[in-house]
Amino acid sequence: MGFFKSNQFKVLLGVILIACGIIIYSTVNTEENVLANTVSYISVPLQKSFSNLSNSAHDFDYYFKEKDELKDENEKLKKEISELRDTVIDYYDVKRENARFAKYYEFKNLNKSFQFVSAAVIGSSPGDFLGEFVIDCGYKSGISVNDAVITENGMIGVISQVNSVSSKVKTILSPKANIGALNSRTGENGIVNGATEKIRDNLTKMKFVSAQSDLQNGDIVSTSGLSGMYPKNLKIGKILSVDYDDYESSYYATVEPFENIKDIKYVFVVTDFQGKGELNIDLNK
Amino acid sequence: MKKSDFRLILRMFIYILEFFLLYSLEQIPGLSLKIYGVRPLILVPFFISAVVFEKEMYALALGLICGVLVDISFGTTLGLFMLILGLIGYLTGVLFKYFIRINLFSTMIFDFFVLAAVGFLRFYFSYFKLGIQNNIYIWNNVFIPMICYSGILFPVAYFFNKYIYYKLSEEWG
Repeated sequence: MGFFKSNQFKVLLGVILIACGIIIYSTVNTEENVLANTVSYISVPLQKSFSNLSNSAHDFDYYFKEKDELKDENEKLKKEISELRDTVIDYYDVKRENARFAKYYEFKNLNKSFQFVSAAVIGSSPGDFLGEFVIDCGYKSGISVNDAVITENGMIGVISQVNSVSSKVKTILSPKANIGALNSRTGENGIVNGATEKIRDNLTKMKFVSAQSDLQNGDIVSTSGLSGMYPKNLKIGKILSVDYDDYESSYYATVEPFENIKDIKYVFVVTDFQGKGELNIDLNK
Repeated sequence: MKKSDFRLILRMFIYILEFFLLYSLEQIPGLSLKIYGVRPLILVPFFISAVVFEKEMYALALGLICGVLVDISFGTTLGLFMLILGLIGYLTGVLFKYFIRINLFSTMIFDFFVLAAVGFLRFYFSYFKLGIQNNIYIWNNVFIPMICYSGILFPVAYFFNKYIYYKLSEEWG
């Protein structure tokens, strides 16, 4: 009984009450959280540095693979390549960055009403199975929840959580994603919603397809833009097969995204576009 | 300021710095080796190995800090793992002060229990509660390997934090 009268017990009780207060505050205030923002101010620069380090190591590995392929063909250049190793690593970085921005420029020209924010992938949580990841831009860059996340090859997900300097992305592989989509060839509608058993194969599903639909393998699936949350005509992937789901009593198409979602390093977030919010149907609810 | 107080503050500072570094490292997809397609939880074993040596109130404080980082990493409601790891920290401090002898074997077994609890709660709040289909598949193929993988890393964490503790504690002057 002495424990319940001790200072230690009072401190413990105080901590529990404060933690409960934080839980309630976080539940009510999902848009902006002071504690999460404070931590992200410290952790994001650290994560960025480690992420760059990790990417450089990857490029280094790629360089060696390429060198091996050329070894038989061009033995004389081997020594020279070795001397230029550091320069080549930088070159790959710059080349990749240039290619990305060239495609971005092209994409921007095609979609003049889009407002973009460029972001780098800086992390993902261990134990995450749904392909979610964290990017290095937050609401300070104009990002908000449900903004479309794209690469030069099309849509890859939506923003699910925003902090001041970082955001979490829910990808099209996730069963939590609900993105209005259509078959670009026929205009038939469906909803892109990931499936647990397909995530490891980098595949997703287009659900609620009508029985009379004319979906064919190789058809391109793109965003429908019906909800007004995401721009329309953003490519999502191509259809691999059409099957019947006994559980949901409807047809679905297996869709292969144009990006290997788990290897993505840079993305663009569409913060604004013409027609945003015009039809207020929230498919995530 | 007493020498012992200075050592305590320095030790806590090192632990907090360690937690932030590990939190950042844990998040980088390509940095830790994937086994069976999963990455380990690095932060939790290091947290347990730190608090087994500390008094319960310091362990509580470390648990709260570690919990905030875990909440942000997992994307769970902020404060949830802060509360859970705070209480686990306090409990660990009490158990290892009065009831359990500190050695690699006992702390490693305890670490597995904590990892299983943290893994299960993450699974419950991030997958089961949200009604994600085939969640048993996720538990078997992601969480069980992750718990085992994280648990195997514990000796590294144990010897690392034991070194910090003995280098910066009164016993070693």
